[in-house]
Amino acid sequence: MSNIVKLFVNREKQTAGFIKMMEGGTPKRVMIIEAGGGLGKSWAIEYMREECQRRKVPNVEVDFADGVIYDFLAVLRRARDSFGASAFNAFTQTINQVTQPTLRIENVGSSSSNITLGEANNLAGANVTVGDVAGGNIIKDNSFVINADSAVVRQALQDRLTVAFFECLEQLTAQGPVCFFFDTYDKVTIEAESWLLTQLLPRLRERQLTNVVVVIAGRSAPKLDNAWDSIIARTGLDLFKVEHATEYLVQRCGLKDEASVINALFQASTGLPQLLAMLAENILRSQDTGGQDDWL
Amino acid sequence: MIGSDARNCPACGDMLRSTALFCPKCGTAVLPSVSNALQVSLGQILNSVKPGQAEVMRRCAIPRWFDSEILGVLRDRQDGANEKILAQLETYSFVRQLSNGRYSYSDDVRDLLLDDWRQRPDDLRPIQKRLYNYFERRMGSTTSENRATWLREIVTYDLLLASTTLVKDQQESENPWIITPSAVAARVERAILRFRSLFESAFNAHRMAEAEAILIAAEEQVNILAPTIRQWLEYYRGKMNHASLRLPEAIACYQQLLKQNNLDTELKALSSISLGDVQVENGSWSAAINSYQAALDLPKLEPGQRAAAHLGIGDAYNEIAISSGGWHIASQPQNPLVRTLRNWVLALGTVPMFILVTLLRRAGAAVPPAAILVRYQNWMLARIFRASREEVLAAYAIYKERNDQSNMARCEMRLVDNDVLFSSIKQAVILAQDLLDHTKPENTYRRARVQVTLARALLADRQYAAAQQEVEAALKVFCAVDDGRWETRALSVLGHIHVSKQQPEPALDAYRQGLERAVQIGSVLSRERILYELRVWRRTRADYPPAIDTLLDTASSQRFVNRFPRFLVPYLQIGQSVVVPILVLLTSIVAPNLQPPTVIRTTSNILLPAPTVYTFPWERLIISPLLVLLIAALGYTLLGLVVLWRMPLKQLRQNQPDIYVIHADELVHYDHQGHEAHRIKWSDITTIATADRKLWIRPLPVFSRSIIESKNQPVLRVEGIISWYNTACRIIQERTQAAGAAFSNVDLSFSLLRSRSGIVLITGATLLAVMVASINQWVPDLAALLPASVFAALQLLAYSGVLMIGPMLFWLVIRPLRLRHEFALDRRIPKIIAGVGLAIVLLFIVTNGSIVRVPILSITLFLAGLFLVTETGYQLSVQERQGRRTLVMRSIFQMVMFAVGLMVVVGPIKREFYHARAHAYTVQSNPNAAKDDRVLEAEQSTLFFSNQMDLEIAIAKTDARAWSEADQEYTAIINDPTYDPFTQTLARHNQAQSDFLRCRNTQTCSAAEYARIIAQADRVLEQIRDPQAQSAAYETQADAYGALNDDAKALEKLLRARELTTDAEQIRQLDIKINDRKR
Repeated sequence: MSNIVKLFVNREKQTAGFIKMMEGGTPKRVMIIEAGGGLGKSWAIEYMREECQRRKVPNVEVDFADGVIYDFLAVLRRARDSFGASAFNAFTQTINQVTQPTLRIENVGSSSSNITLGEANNLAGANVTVGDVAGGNIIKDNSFVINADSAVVRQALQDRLTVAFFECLEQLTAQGPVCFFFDTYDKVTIEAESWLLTQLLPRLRERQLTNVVVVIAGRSAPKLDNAWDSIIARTGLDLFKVEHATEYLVQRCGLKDEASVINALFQASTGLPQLLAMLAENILRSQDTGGQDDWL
Repeated sequence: MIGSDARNCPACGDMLRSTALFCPKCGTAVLPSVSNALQVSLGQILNSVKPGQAEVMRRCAIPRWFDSEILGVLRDRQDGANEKILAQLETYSFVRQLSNGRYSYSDDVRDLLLDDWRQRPDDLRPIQKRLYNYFERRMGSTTSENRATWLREIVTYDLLLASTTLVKDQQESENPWIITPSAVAARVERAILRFRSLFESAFNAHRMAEAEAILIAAEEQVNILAPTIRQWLEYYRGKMNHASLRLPEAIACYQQLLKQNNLDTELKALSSISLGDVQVENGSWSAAINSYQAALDLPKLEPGQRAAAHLGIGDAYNEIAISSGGWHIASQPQNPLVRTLRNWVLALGTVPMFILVTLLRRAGAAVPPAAILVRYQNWMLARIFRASREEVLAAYAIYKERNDQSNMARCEMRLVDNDVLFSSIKQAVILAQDLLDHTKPENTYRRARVQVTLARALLADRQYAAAQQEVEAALKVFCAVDDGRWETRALSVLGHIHVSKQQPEPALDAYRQGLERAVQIGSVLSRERILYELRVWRRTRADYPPAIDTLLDTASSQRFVNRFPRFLVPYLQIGQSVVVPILVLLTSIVAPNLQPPTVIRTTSNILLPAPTVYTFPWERLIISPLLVLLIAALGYTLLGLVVLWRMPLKQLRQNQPDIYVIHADELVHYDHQGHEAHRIKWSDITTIATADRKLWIRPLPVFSRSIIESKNQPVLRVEGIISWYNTACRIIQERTQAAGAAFSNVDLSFSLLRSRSGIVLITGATLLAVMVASINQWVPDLAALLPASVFAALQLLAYSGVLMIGPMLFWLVIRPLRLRHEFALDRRIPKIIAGVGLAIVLLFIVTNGSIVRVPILSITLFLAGLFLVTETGYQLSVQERQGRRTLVMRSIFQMVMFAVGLMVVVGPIKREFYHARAHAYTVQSNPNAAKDDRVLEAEQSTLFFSNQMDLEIAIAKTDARAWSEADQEYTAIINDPTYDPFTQTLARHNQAQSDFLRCRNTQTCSAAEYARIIAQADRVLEQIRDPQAQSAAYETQADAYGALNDDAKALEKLLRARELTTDAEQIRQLDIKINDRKR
């Protein structure tokens, strides 16, 4: 049993809903978990991912707080690598095509080209591996950052890559469900949000993609009007009740079942899972001084 | 510091450890509040470990994430223990693994610890400095791929370090972080520059996510950054919002920034320009121009920024103009006769315009050709294009000075477009060709854009094949890079080329593709350009393919824009309203001609002036209106050129044209500031009232409008001056019906010439024409044919113009006022109308009732003025919802005022009637009746028209045998130099004749008295050349000689009188007298 499964309590409603979505038991395709800090959104996502792993459902997690600069291509790459690059050969090929150094497009009003590799608009010095092939699959694309003097051209390239990505994804979903997890949505980049709201979610609503489940969690959620209600399930995360705290502290963390201690910890945590975990940590570490090392 | 603060037990007061949950003394649970529970818990954790461990755990909160290397930097030692420590840290629940080997604290925990660090800036700064150095070192050794990541960290620490540097206040301070204020400012400036450079390199390359990540990193601890840095971050947040099309948020950022007083000049300029850029994109062009202007008004502005502001204003003007749909194309009347007549009038109106505009264009002025300028609808557009051109030229001059080739090219492309619009075709082709020649072949994309511009110029030059070649080549490039916006432009040009080549099918294909592409990419301007082309095609070619109708009808979203800002509409209404009345008025002043004075001789041989008659010489009747029209055309031309050169743009900056966007499910209206003023669902519409004024079938733009009422929205007025007004109205009707709205149609429209009032006007014009023809004797004289009273009444009716002025009042005043009352429209209209009315009344008084030469027309104008004042007064009372009593009082006062006015003119009207009838009697050879009417005319007492009619009064006294009084009157006239000699001579004759009549009646006159009568008659004969009058004078002399029994002399005079007269009645009388004398 993984750590998260061991520690996870009281999110049956969300997990059951997620499983139902994955199994196609509901027309809802998107779960939005909007809740304050410390309520266990990331844990819930981690738990759902565990469920995916268990069922061998391809899934990808994009955590907008992980320090990666998520432009649209970073999201697509993360998805490709998580779902399995072999299913996305065409997409990888498209990346390589649009980064061919022969395509030089210049816009009026600026002196530099809008598609460059590395810094000098050529392959030298850039970390480029065009179309490496292993076992018949293109496993690596040009590692590049799209520079564009024209937002229009960049959008055009983005559209082309997105189309290629979704074609691959469509083929993948024909074999079974796939899941996208977007965590810490309150820190989503504008570009990633734009891709999500104008590319991925509309395809779900229009049923162009069927076997795809999306979970979005964060302190804030995307602003979507009622037109999306048919595919979206919105939920929050409740504070723990005392029985959940007991279950967590006693059964998962191994604390003694002393009502006074449990109650005190529960009240101190105010039902916040993260705080409860820290308090439990305090108790568990109370005898541990961190070893002999003093780190400084 | 977290983990070190103590507190007391609330029950027993015993001192507790900061992390205690229970009081060790009394056992009371010491529960932390929700707000500090985390802090307590964290403190507990930190307290439970060794001090060095706690310090490292605290330090790990400083960077946004850490790995083993960063941990070494935080610990300031690379002793090989970092991996082990990392493994220990990972076990804490608040530590998250981001990726292999990278960790961070949960946000809440990190925030708490950072707050704590801010209490210890002296401890924090060396760590931040170490991190800064580390990231710099790491960036130097990394691949270019990751360089941005490290740069982001570097600039973040740079900003933080610059912001937390202390200002030196003691020379002896040894703290290395305390430096002089100027050094601090320099450090802040350096940090900002570094940040800007990094952000802009990503931003300008459209790596938006990277730019945003840099900004987010910098904003993370924004509250402790220096104010200047905060302002710059706010500016870049605005840029970020703009780039991601969060336009309201971007505008808010810039506006917030510009409100700050201590803003750096450069930042102020950049913010103003950027705000303008967002506002242009948002469609708030007027606001955008103001923003750019604010930047230009700054005292120190970089030339590049100045040029950018000029170009921004140029673009904003251009967008205003383009969004209104292009040059106005007038509809062609279907009737060939009407079409020909209209084109002739138009051609006449174009002559002065053509001459002046040709001269100006030859002198190098940027003006559209006369064919465009002849329509007032295009003036404002031309003015805006000119303004745009001037701004682009200003920007171009600066770029040229800086040798900024790429921006020069941007300007040149705009200038080429402008030349094409202004039909300076050769110039445009040369410039575009030159631009293309200077564009490097490898710059495929840039060349493609220039090629479209060149194609446009070639198309205008009718080089269709060359234009097609260029645009097709460009199209391939745009398709290759998926640039939908330019693809649609190219397709639009291609469609136009095919239309010009009369290839409807390929043209339709191109337009159809362009339209689909425009809708696909959501480009409003591209879509509207093509829709405009299609509408022009439909309007200008009678044989247009019916598929155009389908294309236009199926376009789900369409935009219609006012051709003028709304504030100009009342001026245009006034301008157009007064044109016809002024034309009529001028014609009525110039055309009539008074006949030379003639005389009427009564049977008692009294002479009086015949009634004056206006004739209308054909040359005046035709040439005068033509001249007036020509002068009007000249004035119109000058006005157009004044608008083009001198029309203040300040008003326009604050009043952009309204926009109506018709979507599939709703109608959206943007007001004069570009703000959304209405958003009406079709199903919510309750009333569509159409208040069009048409000459025949088509609405007159400035006098027409539709009014839309809906649930929960204010009344929406759709002006007739919007582009393609009829189409817009039709679509609104269709979509409202299709949405199943329960709405009512209120038709308040009327056709001027097809209405009852129109019939009245046509009748009035016809009657006037007949009267004029009759008096000019082009047709039999009605005065001779009709009974005198009938003739007089008809002449009065025709010359008064009441049959034409009445309908005009109805069209221009009564209906607009009623509409205004009903829909609460422009509040200024009644006041303007009342002002015009008052001016007419005052003019009538000042000119002594002679506003125009024809008295009865002056009277009509006076009554019309009076009506305007009273009617508008009444309507204002109703509009202002005054109390019933006030309303009644005002109504009574106005009625009394109008009644007094009527009474004032009753006398003059009667007098005009007698005058006209006297003329009829004169023509019908009934001098006595004519004389009687002249006398009646003279007897009418009036306040106005106090014409000198003392002669007629004296004659009345003669008739009444009041000899002495008559004599005094005649003497007064003879001695009064204000009388013209003709009247004085008549008075002299009448005095002599009156004396003779007295003598004959009284039989008491001496020979001397008869001799004086003869002498008077002699003087009359010397002074007058009119044979009729001379004949009368000879007759008087003959009668006097007869009384003196000098038969020879009497006979001689009678024969002379007989020779001179043509009056049958006088001849008969003379013949009797001659026979008597002979016997």
